[in-house]
Amino acid sequence: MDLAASIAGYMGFSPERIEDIRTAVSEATLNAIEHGNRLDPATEVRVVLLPEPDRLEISVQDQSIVPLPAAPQLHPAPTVESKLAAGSRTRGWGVFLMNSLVDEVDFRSTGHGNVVRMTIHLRRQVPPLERTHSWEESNADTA
Amino acid sequence: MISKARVDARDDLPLTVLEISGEVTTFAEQAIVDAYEQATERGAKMILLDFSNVSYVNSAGISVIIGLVAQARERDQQILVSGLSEHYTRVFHIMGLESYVQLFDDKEQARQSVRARG
Repeated sequence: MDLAASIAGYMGFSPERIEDIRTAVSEATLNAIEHGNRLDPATEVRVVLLPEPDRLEISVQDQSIVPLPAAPQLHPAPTVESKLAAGSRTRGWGVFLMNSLVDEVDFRSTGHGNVVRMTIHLRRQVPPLERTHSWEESNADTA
Repeated sequence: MISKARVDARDDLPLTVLEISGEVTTFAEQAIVDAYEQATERGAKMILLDFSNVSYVNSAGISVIIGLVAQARERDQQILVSGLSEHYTRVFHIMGLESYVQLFDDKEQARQSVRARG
């Protein structure tokens, strides 16, 4: 994460976007360790940073032998409400955060594991997500 | 990996402040949930999670907070959050969490808001 942040800083990304990159790499790596490599300490996660003049590409590869489900980046976004539902697990935000914080996310399965490739353009391609309504707005009757 | 989080509880009625230090990840779950349960046993109704001394948060850690929100909802408690960095405040926005926990810049702002409610 720190190396990705350092390279992004050297390339001229803003501090805000560097934090986004740091979090996205963290989430991709966490997914690779937990879901891809299933917490097996004998496995490795390979992170490749490829700085280009107009973008930074970051690939995170696990050693999973199980192919990814189709187009995980297109799965419905989780909501807090669904997570609060009785019996629902509260985890499962990693892909959503990656999609939210970087410009492009691509998943593919190879013969040697699954790879998530994130692309962050120096000129942002997608405007930052608008904030959702606030606690005050949601609780206007009770606040 | 071991937990790098520590939680110090402080009753500042009507608030109970849980000051979290270190990293909020899945490894912080035990410390945070234990502190929350102990606060609940003391009758806490408004619980402020202070992130002023938190260096790192990931989605697994935020999921722990969502779990607390679920518990609080069932127990008629309110979860408040203070001290998030600008980046993590934005992450909370993106996830839609701001609709479920009230965010404050710092503990003092939270205290003043609670006092103003009477």
